[in-house]
Amino acid sequence: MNTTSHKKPALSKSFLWALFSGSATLTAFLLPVFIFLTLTTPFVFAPPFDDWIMVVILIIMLAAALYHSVYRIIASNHDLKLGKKFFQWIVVLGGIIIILELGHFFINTY
Amino acid sequence: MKKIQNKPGEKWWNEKPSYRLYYIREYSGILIALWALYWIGFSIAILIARILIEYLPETNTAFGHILFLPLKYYFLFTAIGLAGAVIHTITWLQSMPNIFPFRLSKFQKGVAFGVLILVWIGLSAVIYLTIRSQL
Repeated sequence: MNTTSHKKPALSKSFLWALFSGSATLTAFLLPVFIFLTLTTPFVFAPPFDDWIMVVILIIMLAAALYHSVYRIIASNHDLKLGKKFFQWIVVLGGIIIILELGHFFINTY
Repeated sequence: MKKIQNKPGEKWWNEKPSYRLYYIREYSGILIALWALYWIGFSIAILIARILIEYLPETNTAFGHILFLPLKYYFLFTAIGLAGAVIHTITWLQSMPNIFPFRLSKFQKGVAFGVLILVWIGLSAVIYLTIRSQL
């Protein structure tokens, strides 16, 4: 039996994993302090530097956070099948907020 | 050739604490994704609000009510994101010594984890104090 493999390396998968690893490391070191700053200071709404720098920082943080999270959920989804539940939780949470807010709006308006 | 059956049990992730820890680490991503989705929605709402104020100042107030909804949930989603981010950081830094290109003993891995945690806390403190002093 031929045990050697001559398949081409999956470069795209390696690239996606490298991107995941980099974004997860960036998120690990910077996201807690970034979120803590948004919680305790008006850092995002009145930044101490130019607005466009804040926009770039926000985009990088959001992209890194979302990419590594979604990659993780998809990569580990084969075991617990929680990906579907994750979307259900988002729909349920969004639904609860919409119902509460519609009720609040109509009570205030009429 | 007979294949060896090595199917895990239905709830194999409950069998060992390390398995559970693995899934806590993986699914801390859900909390971070919720935070990120909230901020994307919030950013879009701010953008639409600015366009409306600039070009359509006589828009129905119902739009204003909907656009400023994310502000009411700011604390909730920020707390969710912070919890997810701290869990992710601790578990990620814990797993980092395992993927170093050289072999470490259990004690050395513990020391490396401690050093990484100190670097994270130090870096966070420097960033926080620098930005806080400029606001």
